[in-house]
Amino acid sequence: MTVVVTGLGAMTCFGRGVDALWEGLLRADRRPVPAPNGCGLPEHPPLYAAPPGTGTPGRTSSLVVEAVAEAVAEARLSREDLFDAGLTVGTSLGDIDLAELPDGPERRTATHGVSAVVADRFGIGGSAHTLSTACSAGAYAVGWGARLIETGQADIVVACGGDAFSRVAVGTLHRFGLLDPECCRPFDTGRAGMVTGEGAAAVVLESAESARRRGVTAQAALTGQGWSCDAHHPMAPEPSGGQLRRAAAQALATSGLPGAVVLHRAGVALNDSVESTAVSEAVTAAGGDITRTAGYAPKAVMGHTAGAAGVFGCVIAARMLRTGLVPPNAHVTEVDPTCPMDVPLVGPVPLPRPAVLVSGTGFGANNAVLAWEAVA
Amino acid sequence: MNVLLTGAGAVAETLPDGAGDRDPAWFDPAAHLGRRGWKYFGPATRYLLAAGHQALGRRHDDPPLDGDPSLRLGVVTGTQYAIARAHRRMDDTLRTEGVRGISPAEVPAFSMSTPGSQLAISTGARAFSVTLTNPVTAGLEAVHFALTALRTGRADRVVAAATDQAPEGDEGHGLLDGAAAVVLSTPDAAGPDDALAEITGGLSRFLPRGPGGRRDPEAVAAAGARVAALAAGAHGVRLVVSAPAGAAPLAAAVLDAVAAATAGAGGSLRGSGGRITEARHCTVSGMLELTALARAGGTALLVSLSDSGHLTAIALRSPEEHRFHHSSAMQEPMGEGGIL
Repeated sequence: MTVVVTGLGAMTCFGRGVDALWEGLLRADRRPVPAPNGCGLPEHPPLYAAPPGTGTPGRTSSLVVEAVAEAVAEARLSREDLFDAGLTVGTSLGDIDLAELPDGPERRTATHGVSAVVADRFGIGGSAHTLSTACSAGAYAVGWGARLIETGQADIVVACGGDAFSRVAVGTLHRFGLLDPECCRPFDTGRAGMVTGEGAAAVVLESAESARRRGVTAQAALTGQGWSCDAHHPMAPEPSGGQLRRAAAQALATSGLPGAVVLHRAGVALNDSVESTAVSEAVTAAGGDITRTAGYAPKAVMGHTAGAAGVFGCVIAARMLRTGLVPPNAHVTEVDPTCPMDVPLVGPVPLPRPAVLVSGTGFGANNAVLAWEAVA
Repeated sequence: MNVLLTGAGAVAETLPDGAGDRDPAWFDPAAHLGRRGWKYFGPATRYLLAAGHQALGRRHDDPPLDGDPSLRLGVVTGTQYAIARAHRRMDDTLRTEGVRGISPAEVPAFSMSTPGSQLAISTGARAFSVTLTNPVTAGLEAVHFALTALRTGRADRVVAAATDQAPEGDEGHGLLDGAAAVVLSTPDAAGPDDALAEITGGLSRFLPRGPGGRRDPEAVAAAGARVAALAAGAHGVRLVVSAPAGAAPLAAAVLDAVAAATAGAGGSLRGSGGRITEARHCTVSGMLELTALARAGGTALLVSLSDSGHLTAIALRSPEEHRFHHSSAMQEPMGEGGIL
């Protein structure tokens, strides 16, 4: 069964909407702003901050509601359609702002209520699951959503992801040298760590038959996916990248050779190299020419959005396939020589082939790779 | 394809006579995990390692799997409070001492996926390690996830588990700690006499609020019909609805909806028509009920509900019935809204 995407939504540092995101990616000049006070540090770490979302108690929920509203509107889903639709939410920390309030009755410990907020708001009555595989949560949310459709458990699934500023996360990552103090520059040899970003993204997944029946346009088709776990270390990837390579090979087994790869690459040197090497080996083994495959790292201009990152990868892949363009990689003075892929620095450049791979990895090395193709 | 439940493990805090003060020493990690290799793990991770290894019939200090068995073993973990205490401690430290008061050893405790990652590392599970975090229902959702993963060929065996450490303060009032795990296998991967039970179906629904703020009765009725359909008109079905005290009225409505739909489909419930149990062990509650139903035998429907409107249901029956009805079971059509 073919799973297609019929609606996209985004809330990012570029503002509201997928058009604002795409324009920001094409401009390729966005830099982070200082994080709010209260990170327990003398200096302000950088942050790609998003504007406020709709008024719900949790900040992540408010961002996700905005992204889902856009995707649901584009897919022209009625309340009736959503009654049996599924929902998958990728989030690392949920509404963590509710747990970072001063001591008092408002300070919460349960922060993973995003799926209930979204399902209640839109009247979604099918499966409503929250996946928190750290930074690959979004990729798993999309992959699991597709599985629900492929197995006949839903015709339509709203797959989304979101994460927002956490002073504990930003302060701690900075304290232990995991944050680049300037900006996120994943393809630059001088990269010095990740930079967190706030945001939410959503895709409406649907069986091709359902999209045809409803008369809505399929923007891209999910043609393959692979999952794996390194089972190696709670934070670091296994250096050979063997399991990520296996996940990429699974995704490629049923899909066309990619013209571009939206990489998870966040500016952490070891992780970046392991990822691009593993994915490149899988593409090469499938018969692709990796030097003619574009590597793209959106986190340079929007930061690491944690549980949303994999969903953003899919939103960006769908836009690449629709426009036939790959945005330029930002903030690069000298290109990381360990990446075998073509790394466009000016552009946009044409997408060489109408297929895009999206790679997601996270703490504990929970890998997910998704393969998208253009719809004829 | 039905899936076999081939092992179960649990460590669950109890109260003496069901009441009284909690005993902070209820869990002895060394007794479950050996003397080494767990010192820097938080309680939720320790509980999960104990229950997961028990379900697999192995120990934390056994060498992890390698080769093909490792590539075909997955882990899926439900938890709602895995980081709650660590996060609060880190947030308080940050506000009082600054971030320099936070130890590097604490950093992994800040990820909801860390307990599942440690179980994957300890067992060598390389098919996937997925963490689900909906309140209360995430444990039974792990079973639903595992069932789908096995049916779609992502793994041959999956440890479906849940772990939680109840939070401090009002939010944790009346809640208890624990972890539980089951091993689910494809029939080919299970030994001939390994099965405790057969998992025949599973689904999740959300019950949105209707006008006036109450759960939409139409959604409750639809969920009841879908859950009842998992039992496919069977007779003498044990029905259990596990829900927190705050969701007791919703649990009663769901129980009634499932009972009505079961009768409407020509089936029947065992005894007086199902029971509601209080979910005190957070996401672990549904897993504890599942293990109890698997051991009780017969055909059962288990529903896990959260205050916030999540619902997950699992259908199971004893493996003897599976063998008896083997040829007809293989020809059953896909239930609407259920799994293949």
